[in-house]
Amino acid sequence: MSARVAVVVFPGTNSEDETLRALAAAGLDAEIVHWSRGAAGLRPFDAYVLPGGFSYEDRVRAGAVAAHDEAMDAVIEGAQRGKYVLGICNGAQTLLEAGLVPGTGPLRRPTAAFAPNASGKFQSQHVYVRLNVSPGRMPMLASLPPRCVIPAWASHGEGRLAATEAELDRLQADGHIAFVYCNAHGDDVPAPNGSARGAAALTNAAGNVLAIMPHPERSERAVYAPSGGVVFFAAFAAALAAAVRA
Amino acid sequence: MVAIDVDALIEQRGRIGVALTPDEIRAIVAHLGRLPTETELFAFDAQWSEHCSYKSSRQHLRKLPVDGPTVMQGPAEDAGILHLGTWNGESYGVVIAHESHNHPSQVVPFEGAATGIGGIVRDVLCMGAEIIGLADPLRFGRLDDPHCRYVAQSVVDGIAAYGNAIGVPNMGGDVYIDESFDDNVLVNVVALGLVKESEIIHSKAPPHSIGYDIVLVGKATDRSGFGGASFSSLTLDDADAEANKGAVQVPDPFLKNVIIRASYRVFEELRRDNIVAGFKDLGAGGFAGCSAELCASGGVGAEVELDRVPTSQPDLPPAVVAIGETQERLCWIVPPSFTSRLLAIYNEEFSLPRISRGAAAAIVGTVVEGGRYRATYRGEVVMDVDLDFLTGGVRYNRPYTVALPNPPAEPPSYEGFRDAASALTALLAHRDVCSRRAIFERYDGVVRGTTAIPPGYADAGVICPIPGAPLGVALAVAGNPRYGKLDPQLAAEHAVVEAVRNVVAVGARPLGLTDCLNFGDPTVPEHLGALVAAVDGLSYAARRLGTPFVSGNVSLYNQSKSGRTVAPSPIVACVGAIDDVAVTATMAFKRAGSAIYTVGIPDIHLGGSVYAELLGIEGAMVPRLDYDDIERANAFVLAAFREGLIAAAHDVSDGGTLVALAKMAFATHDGPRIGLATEPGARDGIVCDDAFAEATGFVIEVADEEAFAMLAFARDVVVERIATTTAAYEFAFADGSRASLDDLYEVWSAPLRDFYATAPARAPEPVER
Amino acid sequence: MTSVERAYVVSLTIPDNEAYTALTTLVRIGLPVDRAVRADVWIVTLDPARAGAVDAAVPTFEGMFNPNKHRLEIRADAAPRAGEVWIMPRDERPAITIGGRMIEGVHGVRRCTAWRLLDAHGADVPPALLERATEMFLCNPAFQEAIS
Repeated sequence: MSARVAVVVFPGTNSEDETLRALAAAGLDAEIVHWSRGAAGLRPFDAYVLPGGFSYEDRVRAGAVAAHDEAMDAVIEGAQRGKYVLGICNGAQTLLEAGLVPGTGPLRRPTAAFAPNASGKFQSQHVYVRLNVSPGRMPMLASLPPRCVIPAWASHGEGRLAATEAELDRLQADGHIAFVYCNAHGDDVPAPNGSARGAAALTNAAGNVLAIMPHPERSERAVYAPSGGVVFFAAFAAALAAAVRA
Repeated sequence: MVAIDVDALIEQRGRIGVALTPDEIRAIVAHLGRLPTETELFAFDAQWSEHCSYKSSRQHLRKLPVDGPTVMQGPAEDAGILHLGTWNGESYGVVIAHESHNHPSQVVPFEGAATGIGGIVRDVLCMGAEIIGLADPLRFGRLDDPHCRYVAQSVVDGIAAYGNAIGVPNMGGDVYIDESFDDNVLVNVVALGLVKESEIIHSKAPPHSIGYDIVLVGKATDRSGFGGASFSSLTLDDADAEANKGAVQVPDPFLKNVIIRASYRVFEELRRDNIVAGFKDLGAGGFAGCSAELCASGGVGAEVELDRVPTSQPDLPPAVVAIGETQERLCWIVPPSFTSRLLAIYNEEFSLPRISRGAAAAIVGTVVEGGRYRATYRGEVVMDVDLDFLTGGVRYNRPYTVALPNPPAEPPSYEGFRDAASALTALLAHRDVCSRRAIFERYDGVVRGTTAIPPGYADAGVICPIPGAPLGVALAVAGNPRYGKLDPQLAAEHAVVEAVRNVVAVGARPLGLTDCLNFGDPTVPEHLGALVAAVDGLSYAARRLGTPFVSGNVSLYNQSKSGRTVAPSPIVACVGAIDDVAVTATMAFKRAGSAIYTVGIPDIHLGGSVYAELLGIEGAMVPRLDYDDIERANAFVLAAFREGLIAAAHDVSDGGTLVALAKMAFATHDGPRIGLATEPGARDGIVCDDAFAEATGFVIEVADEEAFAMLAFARDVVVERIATTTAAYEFAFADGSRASLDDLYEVWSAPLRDFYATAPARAPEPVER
Repeated sequence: MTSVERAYVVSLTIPDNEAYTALTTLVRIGLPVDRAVRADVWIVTLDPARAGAVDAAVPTFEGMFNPNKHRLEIRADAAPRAGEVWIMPRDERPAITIGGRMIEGVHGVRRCTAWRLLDAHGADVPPALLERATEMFLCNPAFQEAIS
């Protein structure tokens, strides 16, 4: 029996179609589930993906309103029970606002945030990100080779990791910084959005929830650069298959 | 009633806030046999405005070619449709619409530009299409002026905010800077859609629709945007600035995002049950304008109850309810058997009322027999007019004079640059050549996951909108104001030729065109004459190249009361199709050791060129266009792409051949860093203008081992080898000069890199503009 | 050269969707709030001799103020009133433009959001409730601080 993945859509989400296609291309049984189906509608699923966009128009803060939406109750419950949760861009912001990532504080009391870019502006550009933790640290992407470099596309106005210095030190020490910005060869580069510690993605302590700002799912048809999505989603699918078997 | 008699009405018209002329008012009174109600007056004001009726330009627009084998639907509705190709047994059309939002963007730039995007995507949606791409040709005033800079920044912010939020990728655009736009920015927007030919929805009441429901969907109507249609048909003036601000609409891309998705659901339901509906978006003229046009074009009438229009402010006068231009609204005509399902989709499944206070889908009227439009409000009839008279509008045969450009004197001798390297350095820093990355980086170019080539990577953006299908769609724009100032007719021809070449440069076969004519005051013969000349140019070029116009727009009165008028600006968009996107390529050089060829016979005239401007060369002619050569060159490039012979290509435009080559090298800047060396004797000698002439054709990169095969293809085209790519990241010129491409990249990147930086430290006291 | 702080508080006269969504979220969280009121605040550090000129210029900046949808309140004491909380980005360098323009005499500009929560009678909610709302939703301490 294969895992069923819910692509959770809030009002204002805009990347659900390509996220669904990326999951389907990796062999996953995935389905778009609207916010209006509530927590009950989401509970039956085995994994959750929160795609990019501008849920609730980024009112108050990006991801803040979605984090309190009833649908998120099911995602939080599932994450606490070990289900895999992937948040991309606005989805990542929502996971941080929900306190699921890094998960170093109480639920819905964020200890880290993807805050406005250093430039103060929305930026859209091709990037590379490098796996910054050992494969065992993050079961949901365990089959990615160590230090693997994934091409992606950063398209956001609030992607700068922000937290207190003490928290940032802890995030680094405890392996929460799952991906960092790099060049095509995997060498560290300053994050284009000014993100602290070059962080492009964060994970929680158990490694079953990932919040990644750059999009791995938009390069399906890319002629301009190598496609990054296939490797990333293949690893996610492999992890899900292993989790279902276990 | 607004006045006691027609003379009083005419006298008060400015205070009431309508732009109708005395003769127009007299014609209305004569037709009605009475004075118009306030609602009717504003309805005529909107429908008969330049913006809605094209009264000064329509007769000239008839010259444009609109037919051809690629046309699925011509300019009759809000968007045109071209044949894209077939996949899985279905014939697909690419929908294209092109509009301007110039006046609103000058007055309140963020909202003006944002609502421009909002409006253009609705035009595409209403054909029953999925919205798949956007482009934004922009014309800004001089950026060292703080106000011009502020307007430019806010325009880009507005376009980004709206396009990014609704999740439609930007595929390209352009930016030109000229002092003639200092007081009148030009903001043109283009949107693309995808629709199956069998599933097109039309913006007219369908056959047999007597008794159908008229359903209004979207944002609750409020006072915002009242007066927009006539506002865009009048010259801007400081004193009107405050009043003008109220006439600018309020964008809501969040609500629009949800409305778009809900509408796609409605499309599904209609198609499943084979129901034919009418669908049109509300723009100029508000609800009355939209529903009137829906009914007029369907040959039916309407009975409307304005009380049933969802509003967010109580006690709005009926004129505001009927004519106000609140954004994010659409209008359906559907059979009553479908209405409850329609309402449920918008109001429940997509919970519009919870997304935006007061937003809803609501039945507001009924389609009736005959040709009248009748609207009531609180039991009173506030509109009762003949639809043909309302929507037919007026036509003016205004006088115009076409200034023939002076025949050029023998171009004066001039002092050129010291060498090719210093020439290229100067050109790359020019305002119309330098990198626009700081601008297009604001736009999401890859949302939806269909992008093959995003903005900045080639002359045209390319997307693959049909999942699983190799069909590609390319989009590019063009329209050079430096040419416009010298020769509007030729400038228009160049706009067509360049837009087409930009699409060919990614291996796409051009399907068709749209145009926006941005000009001055049509009551001034010289300005109307420039428009007439431009239409002639567009027609001629489009006919010669076999690319019809399927949609377009006219924006007049782009001038300030002080008399400064924008450069004649015919702006063209070209959409193309790639049968198999595997043949396309970005403009970046692909490897060292490749051969670089020019393609096409250049016409070496420097009029309007960046080179001429930098050297102060005056009196030169704008380049002539040899259409036979252009057609052969285009055909050759397309065939070579299909054969896999072209590694990279670029159209030669602003700055000429050396600039085109530099840009191809810059595209490798972050890897694999490929430079080039010019062939001895090739066109870069400083005494030879060839290297800096514009509109000469293409430059292409061909792998060395493919050169022989390529030349065999090029039997009837002039190709000349001019350079070889090198592993050294530098540009080596035949005259012995060299330049580091890193240095040149910096020169090219620097001028607009600080586009969003603060104004200069010693800015003058802010003056109310 | 002396420097004072002045606050330009801009709120919407048309319906404020953001405040409405904030309210529905607070209610979902279980807080007894009846209405949420929001404003954008520009805290401007300026040369006091230029205050009049800046006051006159601000209403002409479309980036900040549109008379058809905004009201503007100018406060000589740049601080939240009783019942108000200001949510400020932490560690942000002040800008030098205001509303996209530069004006002589303006030394620094910081922006924040002002919130006020009201009960069913239209009165400010108790300070403890405002504080809870701030902690639970209005402020993200990872990059924002709340001033009241």
